[in-house]
Amino acid sequence: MKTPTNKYAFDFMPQNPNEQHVLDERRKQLAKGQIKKIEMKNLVEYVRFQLGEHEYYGIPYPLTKEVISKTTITSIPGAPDFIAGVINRRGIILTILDLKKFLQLPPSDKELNAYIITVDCNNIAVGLIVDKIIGSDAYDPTLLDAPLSPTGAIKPDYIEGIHHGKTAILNINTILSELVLQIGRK
Amino acid sequence: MGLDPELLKQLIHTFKAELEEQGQFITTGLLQLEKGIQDNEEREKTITSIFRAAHNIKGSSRSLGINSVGEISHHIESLFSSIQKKTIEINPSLIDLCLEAVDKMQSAMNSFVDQAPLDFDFNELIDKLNKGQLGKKLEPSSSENKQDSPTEQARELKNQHNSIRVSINNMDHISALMEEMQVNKIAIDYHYSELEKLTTKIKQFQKIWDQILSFPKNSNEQALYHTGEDYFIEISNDANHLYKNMRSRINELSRLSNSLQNEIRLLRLVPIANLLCTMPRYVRDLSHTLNKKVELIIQGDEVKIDKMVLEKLKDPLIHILRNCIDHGIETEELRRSKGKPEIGKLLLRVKEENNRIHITISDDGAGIDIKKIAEIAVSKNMISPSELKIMSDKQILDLIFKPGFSSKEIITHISGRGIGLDIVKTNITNLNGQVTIETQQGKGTTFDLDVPLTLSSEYGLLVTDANQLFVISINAIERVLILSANEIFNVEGHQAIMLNDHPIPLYSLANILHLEKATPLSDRLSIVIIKKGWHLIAVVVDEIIGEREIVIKPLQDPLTHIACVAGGTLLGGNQVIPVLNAHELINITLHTTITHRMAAQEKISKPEQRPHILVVDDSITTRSLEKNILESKHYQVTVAVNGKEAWDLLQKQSFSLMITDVNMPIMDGFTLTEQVKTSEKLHDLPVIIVTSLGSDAEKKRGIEVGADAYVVKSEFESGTLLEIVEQLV
Repeated sequence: MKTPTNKYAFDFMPQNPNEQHVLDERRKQLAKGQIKKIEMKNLVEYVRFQLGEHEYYGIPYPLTKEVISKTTITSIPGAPDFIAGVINRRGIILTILDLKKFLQLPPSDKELNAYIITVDCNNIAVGLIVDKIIGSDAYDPTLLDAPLSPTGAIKPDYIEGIHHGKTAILNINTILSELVLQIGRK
Repeated sequence: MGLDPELLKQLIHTFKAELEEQGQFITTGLLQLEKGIQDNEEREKTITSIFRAAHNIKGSSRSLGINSVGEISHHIESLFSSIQKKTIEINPSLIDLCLEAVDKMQSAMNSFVDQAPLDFDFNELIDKLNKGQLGKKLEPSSSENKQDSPTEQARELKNQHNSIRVSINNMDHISALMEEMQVNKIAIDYHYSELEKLTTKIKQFQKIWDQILSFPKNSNEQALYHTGEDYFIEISNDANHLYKNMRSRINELSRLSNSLQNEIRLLRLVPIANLLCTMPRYVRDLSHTLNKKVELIIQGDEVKIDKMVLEKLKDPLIHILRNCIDHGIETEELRRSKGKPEIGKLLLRVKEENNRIHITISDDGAGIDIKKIAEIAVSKNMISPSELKIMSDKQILDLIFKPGFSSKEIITHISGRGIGLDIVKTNITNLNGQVTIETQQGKGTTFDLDVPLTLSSEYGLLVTDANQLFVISINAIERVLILSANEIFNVEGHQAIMLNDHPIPLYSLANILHLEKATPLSDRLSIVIIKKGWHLIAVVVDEIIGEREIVIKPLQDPLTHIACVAGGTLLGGNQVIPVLNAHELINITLHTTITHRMAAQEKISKPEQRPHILVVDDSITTRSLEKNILESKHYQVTVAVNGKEAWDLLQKQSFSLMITDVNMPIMDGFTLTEQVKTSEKLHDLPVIIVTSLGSDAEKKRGIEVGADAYVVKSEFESGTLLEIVEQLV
């Protein structure tokens, strides 16, 4: 918002009882807004990101540890192809999952692969390669739409639900346990 | 006692450790007294120190309300008070009694912690201790010593333990942070060298600038040039300044971080005496049980070693010592008849060399009969008679480390606490160590253990193949060669090279690992020869870069089951380099040759050539785990949920091997095994019994009913199961 340069803060103060009243009302409203927010604490905040050119996904913040820009990934011989490899993260070898391959999404023309979101669930920590971080949002778990029917490419188990019709919230717990199962079985 | 329960718990925990220390202290003293101490002053000192240790235990245990321990220690204290005052004398039975009392204190402590009733007759022990005291007349003044004021006692304790206990988790965390710091230091070094290049560039520019200045200019330009010149000099000076300041700081940082890393490494080291001090007691007890006279001499126990390594050395050492006393050292009469000294000698020597610890354990006993080893191995189908013919004595001797070799022999001979020397081999190999054995008939046997000083650091060979860096652990490498392409020849349809007149199969690393490789074989080949037991294979790589000290970090879930990668290492940069599991590389090559052969067979004959294994277990987790492990190696697997079901299956189908759990409903594993082994049709079927760390009695029972091998569940993943299966099928 631009402030005209010839005005001082004092000029914005209420100049008459009418204006004073408006200010009081506004104050009350703002105070109410605060209360309202606390009442809606069952909202889950999530990080929203992009895979490919136009698919949006989300991971609840409580499950994420950090978002890092992509570094050199070392591939591990003998690992399935959806495992991109490993990186060093604070002295610990972190497994990196190629989320697009794992979800069997088609490879996009322009591979961005710009970021790694690290998630931690049930003592398993994995980094997920994503193309682009969009931002944060919040959903009400009771108001998520059901995942699309099995006609979609992705196993419905991997999706917690759809937020606002276009962001698929990932079920990290299922994805990680499926990972352990699939690789353990090899 | 109005103590906070959490605090009390902590205190009890601390006291438990103290009791162990002090108990060990008393034991060592007692054994010295038993041997006899010549120097009178030294002897007095030992007695006083035992007295003091018992007194300390008494004080602490009573203050925590652990009365059983308090009572026993009180009696030990009184005994030694009397000994100090020379009212009673030390004799062997008194030493035995005190040793027993020390053990009972530990067990009373355990009972207290577990809130369980005492597992020995407390009154009987106290009675015996009282009688020991009354051996001579009772000394009333001994009670005086109990009146020590607690502050005095506390001060004494404080002086004795001028150290703190740190959890190993904390240490690991610190080590990890330290490594991370080193990585950053290397990055700073790199930036610093960039800065150095920048200052050179500035100097080069300076020369050109000087030339430009000498060109004729008009006055406006002249002024501009001079302003430029001023700025330039400033930049040049700043860069120089920065460079010089950074140089001294970086040198200092290097020095600090290196010595810090070194100190951290040292923190993890403990004297090997911590473990070895328990051995004399063990040898004494065992030789008494076996009625043999044995003297244990320990040398070099001041050598320090990583605590983690030390802990894993305990079982192998005990096992070898037991083996030496039970099988090696002869009975007194036999020794006399052979003209040897009556007392057998066990020498345990520790030496540190090139960051590795060598422990040799030698006895002057009967030695190992190689012919007998060969006979047993053939009778157990571990090797065929034709294989035996081409095996050297050393290779035959090595058979005693194979799973399934010594189980029966050893269990029938002694209390059966373990199952054989294969455990020794497995434990030592897991530590990245080696165990070798030498024997001379009639003269004795020497076991040689070679383990790294610390678990975390070792050496690896850095190689490249398929445009990727790999590290192969140096322990598995026999040697490194550069050969020209015409030295490769074909044998049995496979490429091979000659090493010491023996053909060794040749593979490319990329092929073993299923990597795509564009570069064709050049004329000069870099070859790494790796070994597993006496299997040798030659592996071609693009380039051998050299040997490096490495720190292996394990892969994390979900990658913990990737067989051919043992972990990752960071070499300088931030990038992880995979450390290859050389043994697994050999397994893969062995396996592929088998599958190739099998594939060829399958085309002509019936497809059922794979060994068929019956897995019996009532737990679905164990069942599926075993099934997965076995199927990964292309065995055909059928499962049954109890003994009865397995027995029915055995009547209908033929199997090459059965793996069974012990505790199952309807029919347990022992009964099943017994039925199989007594059945006319099935008694040749190899049986492996699987248990969670079972009791000795359980193990013994398993052998009695005729099981061929015995596997502990926790060892599944380590490949023990597969190794045994491979042997028996």
